[in-house]
Amino acid sequence: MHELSIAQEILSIVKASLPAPNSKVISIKLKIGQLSGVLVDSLKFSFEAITSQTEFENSQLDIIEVPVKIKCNNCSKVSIISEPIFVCPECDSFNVELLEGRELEIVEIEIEDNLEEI
Amino acid sequence: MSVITVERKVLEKNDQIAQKNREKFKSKNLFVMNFVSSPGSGKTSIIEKTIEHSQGKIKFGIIEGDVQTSLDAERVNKFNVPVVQIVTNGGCHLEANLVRDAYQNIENEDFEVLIIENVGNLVCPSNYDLGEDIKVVILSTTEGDDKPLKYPAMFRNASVLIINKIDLIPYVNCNLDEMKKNALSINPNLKIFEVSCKTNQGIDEWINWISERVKH
Repeated sequence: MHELSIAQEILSIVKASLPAPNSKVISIKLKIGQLSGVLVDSLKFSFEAITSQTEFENSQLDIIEVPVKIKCNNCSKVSIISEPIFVCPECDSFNVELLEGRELEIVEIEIEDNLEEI
Repeated sequence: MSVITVERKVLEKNDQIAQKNREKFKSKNLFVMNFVSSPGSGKTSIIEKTIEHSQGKIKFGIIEGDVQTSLDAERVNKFNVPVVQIVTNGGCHLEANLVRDAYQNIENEDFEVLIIENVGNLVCPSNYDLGEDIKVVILSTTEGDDKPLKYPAMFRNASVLIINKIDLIPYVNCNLDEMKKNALSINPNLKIFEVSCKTNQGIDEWINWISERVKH
């Protein structure tokens, strides 16, 4: 259950990235890799819990789940694998490197425009 | 509506502190291992055996992480090595700042290998860099041979696998070859040791491996 501390980190980075402290956040776009060890449902639940009755109450988490992508060092083929076995589906080599799948990143934040400034 | 580009890692704060820890450990010529496993696989027993059987030839410092109690630190304390206990009070993993603060308590002591015993958990600790040189994952024969496939992130990120309770193989439903094959399918570079803290099988080989990595 480290999703709660991850939700807190997300919130603190979002707060630090806002152009003004009262900016209204519509959504937060996250990239979460399948190998990141983060359970998406649990993260959403944690985020809801810590933002309840705050200015972020209606902010949504927009999550892009990133599959595990490997590159074979033997035949150079790039593949997406669904099983957690790091073997090249093309040539069966175990000599593969992980290209994607460990992501745990905040990509962007969508905010409401401040009408008074327009 | 406007979009603000952030492009930041969620755990960047932890990673930055971990990097500072790593630089500090390097400046002290320490070899640092982060021990991870599920609860009850024998992390503390392996630490005890490692200290005992190295017979003072390797100087160890220990950071113990637990959700509650200082029982593990008390177990290690009898060997008269620098030890500090972190109690996470429910936290399921250690973070780099906890290790930084704990290390301050023993940094002036004389040791060359630092073992950080993480909280027993095969999921959460894999996300948090502590500043270690390597992760050592411990798996016991009672846990079953399919564990590496169930927790791939942890096995992918580790450099060493210690298979503990090897003496129980005749009594448990665990195929050792299958366990090793599964672990190597996740991470073909894993260095594997088979040990028993009961019979001391494999302990000396493991200690020899550590002594080759001590940075004199």
